[in-house]
Amino acid sequence: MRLLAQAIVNGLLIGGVYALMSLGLSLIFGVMNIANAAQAAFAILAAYITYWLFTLYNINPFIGMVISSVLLFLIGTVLYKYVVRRVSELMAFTLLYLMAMFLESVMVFVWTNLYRGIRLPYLSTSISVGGVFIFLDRLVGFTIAITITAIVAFMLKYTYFGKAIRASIQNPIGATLMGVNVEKIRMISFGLGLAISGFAGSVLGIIYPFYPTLAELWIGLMFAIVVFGGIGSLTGTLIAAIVLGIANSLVGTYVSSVWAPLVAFVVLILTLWLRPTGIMGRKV
Amino acid sequence: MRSAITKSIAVVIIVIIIAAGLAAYYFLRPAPGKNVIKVGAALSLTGEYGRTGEWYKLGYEYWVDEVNKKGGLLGKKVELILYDDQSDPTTAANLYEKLITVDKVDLLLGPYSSAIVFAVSSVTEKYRMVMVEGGGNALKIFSRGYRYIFLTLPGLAENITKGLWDWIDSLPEDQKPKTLAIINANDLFPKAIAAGAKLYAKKRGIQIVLHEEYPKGTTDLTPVLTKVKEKNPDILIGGTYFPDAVLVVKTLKQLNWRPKIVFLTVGPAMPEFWETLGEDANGIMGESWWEPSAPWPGVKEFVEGFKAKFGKEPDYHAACAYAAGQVLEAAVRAVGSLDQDKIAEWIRTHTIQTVVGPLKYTEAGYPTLGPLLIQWQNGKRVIIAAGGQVVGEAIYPLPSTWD
Repeated sequence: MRLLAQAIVNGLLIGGVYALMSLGLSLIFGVMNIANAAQAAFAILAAYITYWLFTLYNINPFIGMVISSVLLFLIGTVLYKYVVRRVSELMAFTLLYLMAMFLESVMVFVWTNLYRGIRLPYLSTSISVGGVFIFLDRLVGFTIAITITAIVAFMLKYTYFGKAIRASIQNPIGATLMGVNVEKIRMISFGLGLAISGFAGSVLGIIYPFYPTLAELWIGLMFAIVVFGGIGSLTGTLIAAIVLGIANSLVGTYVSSVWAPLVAFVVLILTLWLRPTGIMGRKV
Repeated sequence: MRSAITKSIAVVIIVIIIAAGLAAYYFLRPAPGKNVIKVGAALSLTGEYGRTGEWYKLGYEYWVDEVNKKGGLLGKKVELILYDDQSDPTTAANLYEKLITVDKVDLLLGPYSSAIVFAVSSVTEKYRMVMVEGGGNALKIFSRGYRYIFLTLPGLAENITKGLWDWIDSLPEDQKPKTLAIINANDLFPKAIAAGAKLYAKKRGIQIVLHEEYPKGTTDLTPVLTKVKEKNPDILIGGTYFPDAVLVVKTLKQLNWRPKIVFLTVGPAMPEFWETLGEDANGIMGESWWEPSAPWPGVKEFVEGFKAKFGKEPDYHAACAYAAGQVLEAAVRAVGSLDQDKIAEWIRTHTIQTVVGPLKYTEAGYPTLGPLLIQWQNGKRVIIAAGGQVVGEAIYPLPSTWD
């Protein structure tokens, strides 16, 4: 029983990180129907920036991750305005895919493919709750993930800006008629999407060792989560991420770690076959 | 009309001059490698095995330096051509193909890790070039009847846990551990370790409560170790490389649990293990194929010279790399030429003195000296067992929690 509880807790916490990684992707996909193939690569880039700020300038990683996310926001808006906006959705996907490969090569060149980690010794312990161990670094990652998701959700529901984003998703033409500058919204959303992944990447760097080609492993999982949750639904992404996190953990614990990566793909295939719109198939 | 003819004549003359220049360059330049002996190798300098591959690079560089100080080989300077295989077997195999056919090296040193050596040796055997390597010792490498590969790790991966069992045998009956859990990556070397460990355990009547494999390169061992903790074995053996060895200790700490004995491979023998984990590494046991306190002739000079050149003492990886150079050097000097068949024959029929000990080869190409059992105690690697004898005091059992 305790093993089950431990496996579920492990999966839940890591599901939070999955959610944060996929949230940015979901936002971009929802707002402008673009599958950002470079999402994971940018997340890892943020991890490296936070790592550098930490090891070179001794900047606390929790501050460093804000800095790297802001940087990613700026990169995102520029990337959207000068590249993504001007081409068709398919072309955008192709360009972003190339961007991902380019980013990886740059990261390998600058930082080499050695494993790096943002080591915080005070997070390497755990707290025990009724015999189940909650790893501190994952708990922190989970907390950051939930907090940011909550902030984004609040923003989307209650601020003018958030409503403008939702309008742009639901009905771009109607939104324009209502006075929403849809292009500007899209640009900001793209930047925001990258920034969110920036937080995710930095959190990842605190929990796991990371290296440039890790992005390739993550992007598949992120797409599976977004499709499973329903494109355009941020709540769906959150639920899907946690479900997959727990599923991965259960398979890894009860069957074998070798089969765990397969879970995401089985889920993806089942979703596309049985309910292609995903769990929360409606738009935000 | 006239200017057109002049122009075409000018073009033809320019083309002839360029062609002549190129021809002169190719035919008149000195034949490459005539005054230099090229030694080629690919190592895992980046990727999963990067930290360990670095030690081999230092070992090779040190050897080339030492040989050149003695006047080189066969009167010629030795030059090292080194590539990065990025911890990938396919990349490594291609690089060795390149070293042999394009760079046309005279001698070969081996790469790191059993899976990579396994892939590369098919290439080197095809070209009938000797490769001396200190990086891969899974039995599978040597079970193909290959005649051109030689190992400088003093034993096979299957025997890597031998020191641990020699020490366990020496414990009083009521203190002996009874249960064992084995975890390993699903790759050649870790699987070989697990297979060997199981045989040793079964012979002693120790119950194997869990044998779990995990994907190569995984960065999360929580599910695996959660399972191990549930089974509560006395011994945990991990067939690991450096990154997963570190991960095992970190995850055990987060689960706030230790078995009585933790034995990991590759990681614990490297100084970076303590540098990365600090106090958490205390009590962790591992194998070592060589320590700076080894009694063989030439070891002291090797350790001091290495330290002077690189600012740190060599670990067993660097020592085995250096030994690989020593084997090649001895063979080439004895045979007096670069004939690969003669070199192979000589290595097989002579006992060669190296810093990792006197290496005498079986028909298959590996020596049978055996590993040491080491344990980290307060920042130092202490040798607990060597050559079948217990030579040190071990911390046993390990405390079962981390607080």
